[in-house]
Amino acid sequence: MAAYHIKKGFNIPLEGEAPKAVQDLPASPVAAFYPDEFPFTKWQLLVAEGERVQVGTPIAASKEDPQTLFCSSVSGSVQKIIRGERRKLLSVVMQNDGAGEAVDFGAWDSKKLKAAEPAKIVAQLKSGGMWPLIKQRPFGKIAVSTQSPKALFINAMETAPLAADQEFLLRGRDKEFALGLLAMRRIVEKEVHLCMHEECKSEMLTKAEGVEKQTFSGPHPAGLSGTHIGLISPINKGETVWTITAYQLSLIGEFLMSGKHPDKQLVAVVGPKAARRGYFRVVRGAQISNVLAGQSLSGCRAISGNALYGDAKSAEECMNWRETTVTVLEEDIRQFYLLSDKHWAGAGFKAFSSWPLFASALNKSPKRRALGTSLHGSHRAIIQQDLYERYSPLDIPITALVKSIPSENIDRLEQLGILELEPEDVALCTFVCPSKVDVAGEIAKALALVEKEG
Amino acid sequence: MSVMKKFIDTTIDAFDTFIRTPKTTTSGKVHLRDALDSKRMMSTVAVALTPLIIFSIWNTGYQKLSALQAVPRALLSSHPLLGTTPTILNSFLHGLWQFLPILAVTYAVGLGIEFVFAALRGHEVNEGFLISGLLIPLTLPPDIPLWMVALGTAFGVIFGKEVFGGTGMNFLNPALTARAFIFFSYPGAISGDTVWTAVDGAKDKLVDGFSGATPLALLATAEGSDPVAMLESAGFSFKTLFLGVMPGSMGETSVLLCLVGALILVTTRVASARVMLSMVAGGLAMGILLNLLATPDSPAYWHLPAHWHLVLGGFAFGAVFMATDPVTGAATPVGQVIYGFLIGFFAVIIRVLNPAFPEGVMLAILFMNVFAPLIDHFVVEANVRRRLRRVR
Repeated sequence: MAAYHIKKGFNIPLEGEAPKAVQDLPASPVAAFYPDEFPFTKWQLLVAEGERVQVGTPIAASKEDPQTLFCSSVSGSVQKIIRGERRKLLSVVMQNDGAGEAVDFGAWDSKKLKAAEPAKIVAQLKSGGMWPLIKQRPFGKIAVSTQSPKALFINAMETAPLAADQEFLLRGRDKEFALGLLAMRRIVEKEVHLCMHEECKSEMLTKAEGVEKQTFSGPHPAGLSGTHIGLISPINKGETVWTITAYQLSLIGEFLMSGKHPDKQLVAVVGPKAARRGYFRVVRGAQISNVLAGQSLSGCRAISGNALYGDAKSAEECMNWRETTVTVLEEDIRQFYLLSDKHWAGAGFKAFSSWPLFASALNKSPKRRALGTSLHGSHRAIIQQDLYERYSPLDIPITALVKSIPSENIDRLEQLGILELEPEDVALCTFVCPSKVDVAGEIAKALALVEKEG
Repeated sequence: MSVMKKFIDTTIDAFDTFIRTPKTTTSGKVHLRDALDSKRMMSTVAVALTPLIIFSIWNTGYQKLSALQAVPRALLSSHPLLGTTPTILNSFLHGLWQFLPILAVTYAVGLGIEFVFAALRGHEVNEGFLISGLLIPLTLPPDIPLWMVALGTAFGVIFGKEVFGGTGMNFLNPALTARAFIFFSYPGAISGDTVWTAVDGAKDKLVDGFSGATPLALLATAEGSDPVAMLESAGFSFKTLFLGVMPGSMGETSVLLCLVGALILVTTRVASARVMLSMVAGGLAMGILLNLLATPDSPAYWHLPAHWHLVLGGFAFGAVFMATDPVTGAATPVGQVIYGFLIGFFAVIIRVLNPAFPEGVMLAILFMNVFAPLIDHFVVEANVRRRLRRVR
């Protein structure tokens, strides 16, 4: 067990925390599959419009590994298959009839897990559509079961603004967590790091067995798997590591225990513009309007994920399948005129910034703030060239990396550490950049380039 | 025609975003942004420069009026300002009379070029020149002909910045490039003894009665082994040099107000204290080294106590406002230390060992601007090697 204290980072005090109480919501009328949620995986569609599906019916299979399946989390029928340019699959929408008919994959207990060969466990998780929960670095794609990772990083903490609290999500799921953990320990057979907050109270985490317990404290990105990997066991060329959140691990446990693809999950609805905040039990991949209880989104932006990293969604669209947070922010298009406080030349008593350049910095104990989506400026070339590294605990020359992306020199990008990163690791750099460079977006571009050419 | 249309568009956009913040929202996966933009950041540098600018305007006027006062009447009978006692107000107004035309020419030429390049490239107009445009007049003597200011500014902006792609892509500090251009093209207008005080047409008549030599020029020609006594007898005590009530380039004389600017830049984290401190360390190191190497036969400059170098010439101004330019300086933390140290080191070498260039700071910074990418390269390579070494 080791304790890590992060200094380079920043917490954004976003208003709109979810009260810690779980409520049930009426079942979502639809659920969806978004291939874009799984970067670098090409999918083969296995269903047609109108086809009947049950909870656990495979919807699509990975073209690289046809055993890796995405399964429906509702019973009903395939309502719509939406394609974009060049027939690129954009989404598959499944209508929910509420009957809850489910495919039975057979229940496993810990005895069976201990006795089974790892390959059998992998096959079971894949057939039940649980495998896409496990991510692999480099690239942040779905884990490739044939590549043995050097370590598994279980993330049991969150530091992103208002992101669902892992400890709360896990409450009462001790058995599921333990079973999921056992399964992954059997599969990985290498180092398994359980990364939790320094002040973690949950005994299922602090007393978990067969894992290296690591504690982290400090500002965001202390809670990102990228930070954990970078500080504990950074990825070298040729190596892979797997990551999963503790809550996702408990879903795997739930699947093994019941033999059924989990059709429900918890989601935290947060953000300054969320009309009804809280933790809700919803259908996995539920429609945004269902999760938000029909709240009007005019002038707002709903995000599947947290404010610092997630996908903007319309009310009709659905949550991403791996997500546990929905954030609602104000679509902030207000313009401020010269001499007003929030104009760039104003005093800035109400401006929110991580930089001590505004009068608001004089307030040493700032309250939570109702921040919106304004860009607060316009795009420029990078001017502050030593900035990004101040907001990342990783030993990666991020500015040099970002500046070398246009050269498309794959070797150079790899030398500078692109393979250690996922875009979310540098989302905070995007936030602080006064030149409004989307560092996370640049890293995503670079990863796509390296994945394609490398 | 389309270039004209683009020019009008970018110009309107530049004024629009100046007067009101744009209503652009975030796209991509990161939905929040800091309130800080490049306009605010640049204007913070302007705020840090403000005390110095106000002082230098006053000082320019004050030097002019005092110089005219010091002239024996017999030499100069007809000058309209003769016998005017300098007060705070009239000093400031006379200073403004010298400073404003230079500032106006700098901005007109520099911003004009920026707007044209923005239109040609289809970019938005960058804020970088707002700072360069303040820095350029501060590095110039008050009596500089305006056409030289225009030429120097044009050279600095075009060849120091725009040909490389504009603010953020340049590797030379545009303000210093402008000054260097004027320095090498028109040395008579920016070096020597007579240019540092603005006295209109009366200069020839002043020479006999009034020495305008700056301490740097005095030191370059001084003999003996007690330069401090020499400077003090010429009226340049350490305190005078620190406060800056003396002739010189308009904005470079007051170390005190450079320190005020440094305080603003460092507390707001806009400029790197690492560069400033290591430059001071470099200057002190070279100064001490020269003291140690000095023999009784060495020029007086070698004997100058090291800390005097910090208050002479543009050292403080360069350390606070020029070396810290985030675009042209080193970017990596270790690189910044090396970069700053070598600027200080070379500034003193050039100043002391090459009397043809009394102002070593400008050349040292430009020189290290050229090497900053190389320094960063080595620091980044060290990081790459560290990453490779992990594989065993």
